[in-house]
Amino acid sequence: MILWKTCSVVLTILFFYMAKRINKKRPSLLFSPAVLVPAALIVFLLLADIPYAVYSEATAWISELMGVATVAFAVPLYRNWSILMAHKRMILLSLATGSLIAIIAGVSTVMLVGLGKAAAISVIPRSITLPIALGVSEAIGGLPTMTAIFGMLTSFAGVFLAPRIIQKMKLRHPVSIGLMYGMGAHMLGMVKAFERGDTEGSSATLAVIAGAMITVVWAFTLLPLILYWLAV
Amino acid sequence: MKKWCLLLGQVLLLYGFNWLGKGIASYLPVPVPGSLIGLLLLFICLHKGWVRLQWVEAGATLLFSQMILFFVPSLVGMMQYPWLLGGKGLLVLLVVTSGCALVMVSTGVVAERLFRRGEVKQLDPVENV
Repeated sequence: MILWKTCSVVLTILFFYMAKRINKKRPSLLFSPAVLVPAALIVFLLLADIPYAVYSEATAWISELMGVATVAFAVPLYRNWSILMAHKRMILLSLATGSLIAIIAGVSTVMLVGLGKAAAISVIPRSITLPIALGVSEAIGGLPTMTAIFGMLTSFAGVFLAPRIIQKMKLRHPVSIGLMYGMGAHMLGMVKAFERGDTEGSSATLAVIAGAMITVVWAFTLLPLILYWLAV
Repeated sequence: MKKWCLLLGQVLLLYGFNWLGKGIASYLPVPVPGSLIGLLLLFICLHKGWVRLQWVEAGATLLFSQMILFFVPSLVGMMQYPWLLGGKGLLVLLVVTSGCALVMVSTGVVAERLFRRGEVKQLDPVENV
């Protein structure tokens, strides 16, 4: 058991640095470490017949570092605070629009393709960063695992779609690009936004935090309406 | 060597804030992730000047450069849902991708529009002169 655990940790880190090298040679989303490494690890775990619980216990300290990195986002947020404050209105309005559309689009498409009411409620908080989304999902009567899937896939879709949307919609202002990344792809989008620049990254950080708060407000005000609609 | 010790110290300081945030979160009645409370605390400390930017800046940069690694364990968690590979998974993907595209387009476009309008307003007085 201990051997498998050590193996999981070593392979996670090893695969990550290998994937980074591959990505440098072939920079495309399919070869991004965020896709390659989990895929390779899933194959390894299945072949070695290691249950996810064991793997997740062994690598808990790596996930813990995600929290530490989240705290570190205070640094760029602080450095760019004045720029963000200068665009207060624009930030608030665009996030309110984005989160409202997230809820409406999520619920209506889930019902449209017939995934069921439980899924429809679980999709409501999917545009919030995962740790908050799980709590919200539970509070409004959704299924947290379902919300987790929606959330994770949303992050991926967001990172994949972002460059295309920036080009098609001719987005040029770093704050709007950052807001889009944060609202659409949460933490993963935050990382990607930082690769574009500091202003982009810190507006994405703000979008993740403020977007989460605004979505919670929308979710609770719209919930009676959505439940009424679902019952019909 | 000295540089590495410095970096380690900075990461440890950030770790401390995360730990503090988690502690506070466990006392709150609503589910808020501790890391976000830690972020807020550090932000306040930076703003008030209790923590200097140089004390955490290099550590933060180091963490950001390795950030995707920290996501890997949760992403591997998708293996718990093998049905994602089936037809139902395709439907979920459809819902997620379409919704996400709408969200990003609306957020980005609204922000960009507002910004351009603001820009024009700022330019107006200059043109009038």
